[in-house]
Amino acid sequence: MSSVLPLAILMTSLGVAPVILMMPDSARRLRTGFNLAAASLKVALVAWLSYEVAHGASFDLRHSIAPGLELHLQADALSVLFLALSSILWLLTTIYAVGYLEGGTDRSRFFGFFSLCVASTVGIAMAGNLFTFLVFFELLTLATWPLVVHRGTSEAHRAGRIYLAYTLGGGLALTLGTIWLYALAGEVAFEPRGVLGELPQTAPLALTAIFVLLIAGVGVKAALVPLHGWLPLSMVAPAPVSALLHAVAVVKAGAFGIMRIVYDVYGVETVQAMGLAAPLAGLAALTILWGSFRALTQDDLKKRLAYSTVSQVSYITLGVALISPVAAIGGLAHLVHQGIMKITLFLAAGNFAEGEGVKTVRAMDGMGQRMPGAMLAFTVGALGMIGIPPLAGFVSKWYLGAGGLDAGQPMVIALLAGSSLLNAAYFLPILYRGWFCPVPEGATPGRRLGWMLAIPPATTATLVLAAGLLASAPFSPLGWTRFIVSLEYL
Amino acid sequence: MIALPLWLVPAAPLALLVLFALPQARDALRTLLPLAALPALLAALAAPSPMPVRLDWLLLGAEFALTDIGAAFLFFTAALWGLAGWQALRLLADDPHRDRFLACFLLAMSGNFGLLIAQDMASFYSFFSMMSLASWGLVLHGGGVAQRFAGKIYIAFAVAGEVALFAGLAMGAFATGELALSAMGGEGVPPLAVALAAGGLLVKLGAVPLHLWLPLAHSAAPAPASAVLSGAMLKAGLFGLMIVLPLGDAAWPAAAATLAAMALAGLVLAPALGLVQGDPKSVLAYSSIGQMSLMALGLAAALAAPESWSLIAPALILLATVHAFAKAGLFLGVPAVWASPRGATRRAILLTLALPALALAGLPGTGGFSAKDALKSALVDMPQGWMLWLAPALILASLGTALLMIRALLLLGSAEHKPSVPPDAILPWFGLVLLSGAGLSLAPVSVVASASIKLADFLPVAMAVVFALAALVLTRATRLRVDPPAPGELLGVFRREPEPEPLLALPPPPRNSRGLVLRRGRLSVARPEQGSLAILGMTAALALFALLPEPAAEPPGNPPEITGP
Repeated sequence: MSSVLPLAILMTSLGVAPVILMMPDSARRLRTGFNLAAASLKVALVAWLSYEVAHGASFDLRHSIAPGLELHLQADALSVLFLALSSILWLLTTIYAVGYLEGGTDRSRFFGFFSLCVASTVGIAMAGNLFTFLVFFELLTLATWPLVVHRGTSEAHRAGRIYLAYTLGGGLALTLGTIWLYALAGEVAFEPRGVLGELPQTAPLALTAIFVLLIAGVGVKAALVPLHGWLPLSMVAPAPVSALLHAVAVVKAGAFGIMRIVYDVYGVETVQAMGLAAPLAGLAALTILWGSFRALTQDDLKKRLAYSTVSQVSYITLGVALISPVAAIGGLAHLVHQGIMKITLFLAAGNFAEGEGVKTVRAMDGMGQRMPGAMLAFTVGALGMIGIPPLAGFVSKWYLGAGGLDAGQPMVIALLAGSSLLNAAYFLPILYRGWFCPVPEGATPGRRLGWMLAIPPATTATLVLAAGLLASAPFSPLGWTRFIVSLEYL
Repeated sequence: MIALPLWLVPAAPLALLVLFALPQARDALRTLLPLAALPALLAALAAPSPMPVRLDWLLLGAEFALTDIGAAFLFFTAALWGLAGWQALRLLADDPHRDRFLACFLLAMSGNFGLLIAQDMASFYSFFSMMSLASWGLVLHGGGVAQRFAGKIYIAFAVAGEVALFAGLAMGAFATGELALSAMGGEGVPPLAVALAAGGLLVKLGAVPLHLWLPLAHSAAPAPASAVLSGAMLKAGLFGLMIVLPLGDAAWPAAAATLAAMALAGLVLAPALGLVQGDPKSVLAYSSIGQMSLMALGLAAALAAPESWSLIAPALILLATVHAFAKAGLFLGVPAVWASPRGATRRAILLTLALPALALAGLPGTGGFSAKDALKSALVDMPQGWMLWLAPALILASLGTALLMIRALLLLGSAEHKPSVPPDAILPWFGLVLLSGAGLSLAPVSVVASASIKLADFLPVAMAVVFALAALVLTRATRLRVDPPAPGELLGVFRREPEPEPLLALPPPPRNSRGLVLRRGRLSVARPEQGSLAILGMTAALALFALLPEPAAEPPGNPPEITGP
């Protein structure tokens, strides 16, 4: 039993991918049905898994490749957090993508790689050691590339090249770091509070170097400045891909990697003792501000959202790097909160482009009248990002702020305040244009969007509200992260 | 009588808002708008007051209760929102964007009610931001240039205030380890936290120099919105300050001096700047700044002399109640004046409007006089340095208000008749005037019976009338014309920007903005090499680093496991 469930969760996307890839493009109903069934099944399985993990069950699945090198899937509380996020959002994004790509070409290819992408995310979530993590991390890079270049335009190909250059470079750094660490420490399993034993005393220099390599490797995907350049460019991808990239798969894989490395490879005490936490926190702070500054000047809606992602994902890194249980709660909760808020924004932005052909901030005038539902969802997401209560972003910021004080870093409060002001400065003009500017003259009424495009952003917007409003309820993201953090900092 | 559940107070407007999503039901629901304030009004008047509610699952664990201060504030807040809602329905009956306004109105209403009963920081902050942000929609509603400008300034101040409040509350919560709002005013909270939270609330109160948004917003918003902005929402700032400041505990001279300086600046600036305005609504807005400064002065005095807080608090509540009713009466009266052609009706309306105006100016016999008298008698025990200027400041406040009221009434008297304003917009205003008459006897506030009325008490109003007459004669005689400036003083400099286009957004930079639309020519942004080069460079440096000899030998008992074949 204990090994079947993780495998089943992995296979509901990894096994589905080749089947979809082989389907003819015309088999729309079959493909959609199959895809949605798999996604729903996965949500159900993850729900079951969360229930079991919450009640203390442990799951383990090992497959030895070579002596000292094994693929290891497990499910701990941290995995479940990421699994729940990716499985629920995958289901919603799949529904959205089916509606979005209606009538497009190469849909089997798209959905096949879409599944593969989520399979890698699931693998990353459940990886039980660094090697398994690396395998799925690289698989994610390769699975995402066809999605980025899906449109096939020269712009898309250019973005795809840049994406590959960054992520493969990052992958290289991660691989080097992993090999080095394996050489030094043997099998690196993920255990709460770290697995390095005496090594920090005996080989501090090497461990520091490995830490930098590993963080640089995952930092590319987490879009830490200066490794973020690929993210705003990959905006050429179709809206559901951007949504998945920004909310769940790629950037979150990076942020999740940082968590695993800090919490379960090195352990917070070691990271703190080796003096590695402060530089990481500094880098996160820089990224938060830099991303927001760049977002201010973007007119392209998706680009503005992309820079906002650069900024917001670093909240997670900051929460991890502050080395305080309270900040960790904030950072971990933000993993989920940023995911649901950002996916709401991207899905709504996709609807603006699909329904009314609006792709820039400048063209957002009167969107509240043209597409009230999508605009409302966008508003909820944007206000959440700014940190307006009672939405999800407020809860993360509250804990991050308290965590900063807890870690003896009161400047974190100033950082959060500054970031909130910047967020307001780039989001509120969009809301202003959408709700309070008149519909431009000569704007032709756009096409009516089907339920497949309308329901997912509405659902995620509701989740944003619920995650904030019900933050203290037992199964909220906040409640779950408290549970995780109680394991890490005992 | 069935006990009213307290959560219904903020939930009633929200429920109405949610039902608004059904397009078929909107027509019927709109008429219910004034009733959304009913649960709040009942809760404020209920005796005994409703039971506290604790909702552990909500936010970070929410707690609602109606304190005595809360009940007093909730009473006038609810009455104002209900009547303003009624007038908004009449005024905006043909407005195409009516539903957008009503949605913002309901949200702000819920926020305003909620923050008065919130006992924990998270829910207070939630309701507070709900009110602030939703009011942005009220300010922007008209959609003209003035509204856009006012909206821009309003939201900038509001967001800055929010952020300051957030920082203050977060620091306070961390220092005390408590989420209860009342912990902010207690022991162990760092002064910076209190200062930040108070700063955020002072923006809402409109204390000089954080007041710049206020005259702009109040004159730009539709009259019913101005009435609640001025009558109810400014008081939310006062209410918050009464909780977060450490009042009645220990003296805090530095804070007292700062707050007193802000208050005095407000008392001087309000009439100075307000008298030259040409729009009756902005004159009324400046008079709000003066009145709120008077309340800030009370807070400053309580910070300087903690033992007088028990006297100052009821005086402030009374002052807030009188100001709320009177100012809302004046704002709601503006459309009433517009609706009436010149003649007997208008004169009757203006005469009626003189009643709240006189109450604000503190004419003996009105509620305003009792309030100011209560404040005055609460301030007798102040430290020596304060007594010197307190009495002149209080007289200045009354004189300034009286002058502003005369100016506002004169402007209203000469206002154009606007046939577009439906005549039934008068009804809610009339209701409010009636309620104000009875208001103080209904309100859950203790009215201190003032001692014998002295002739000197008439002085400020009399002086104002003399000044006004003199000014009138002077301008007539010399044919002097005062060109009214735009509201917003300093900010007027920025007002005539050639392109007020992207709100709060910076212009796009010349270089990087075209990254995605470039289709031909050399690509200059983010070449693929850059990313990989950065990583490879880092890797190379680290590899070099790794070649250095290890500083310490491997422990003998734990050899590294060799992987691979």
